[in-house]
Amino acid sequence: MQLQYFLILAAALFSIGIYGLVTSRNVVRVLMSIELLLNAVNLNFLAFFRISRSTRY
Amino acid sequence: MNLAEGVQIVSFGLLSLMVLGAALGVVLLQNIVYSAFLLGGVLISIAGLYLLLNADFVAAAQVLIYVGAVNILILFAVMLVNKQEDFASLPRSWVRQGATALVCTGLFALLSTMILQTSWLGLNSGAAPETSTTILIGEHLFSDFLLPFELASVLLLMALIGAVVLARREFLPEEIVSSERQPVLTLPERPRQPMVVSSGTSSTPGSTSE
Repeated sequence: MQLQYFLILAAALFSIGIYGLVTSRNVVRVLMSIELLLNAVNLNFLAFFRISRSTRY
Repeated sequence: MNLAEGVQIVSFGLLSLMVLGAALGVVLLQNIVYSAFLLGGVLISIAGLYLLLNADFVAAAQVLIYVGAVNILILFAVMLVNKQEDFASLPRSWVRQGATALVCTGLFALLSTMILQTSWLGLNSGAAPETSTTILIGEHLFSDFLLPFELASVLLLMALIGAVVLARREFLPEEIVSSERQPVLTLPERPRQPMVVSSGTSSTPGSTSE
């Protein structure tokens, strides 16, 4: 599995979250957009964990 | 391409379609209850992606914490604060939304060109760790990261005790208004009921057991 697929998916999720964060006019929806952003960042972290070959984490 | 890679690519495609569709639904739908449920769909699909990345513990924690706690908390917030008030539509709101969509598409284009043009050859090995990640996480939590682990548990204990203290306080607003000599520095609180209800005190409404 390539790294780039996961990174591009995380970038798309991040952009959708930014769009929701800017355009929404409801506080709960802003919270949901922030959850989208955080999950995109977590996906990036785990994609880089998957390809790192170091044994000391 | 053997069978395992094909299965991986097909499942990645399905999961990414689910993630992107549900995230667009979270952002674009008008009804916020649908958005909250679709957020749960996004989180579950991301847990599936974590499974594809050999991170089983993080996938289980994602399902437990995000879907089980955060999404339920957001649903409670939606159901408790649901006023169903329609905002007055701004004039020319499509200009703002279009500009935001343009900026976000530009951000995505920038990020994707950066990702595609960077050579990840030094990292692109795909070497899985030998043991399970759960065992590694447990070893590190109880050897190297013992102090942050215990500090986090103490923090959670403080939050738990604070929640209990806040939930036990029962305000009695009619008694506050009536009594003139309210002491200043104590919070208004219902006096502690004795555990054994005596026969003479039937004035409190909670002790009418007969």
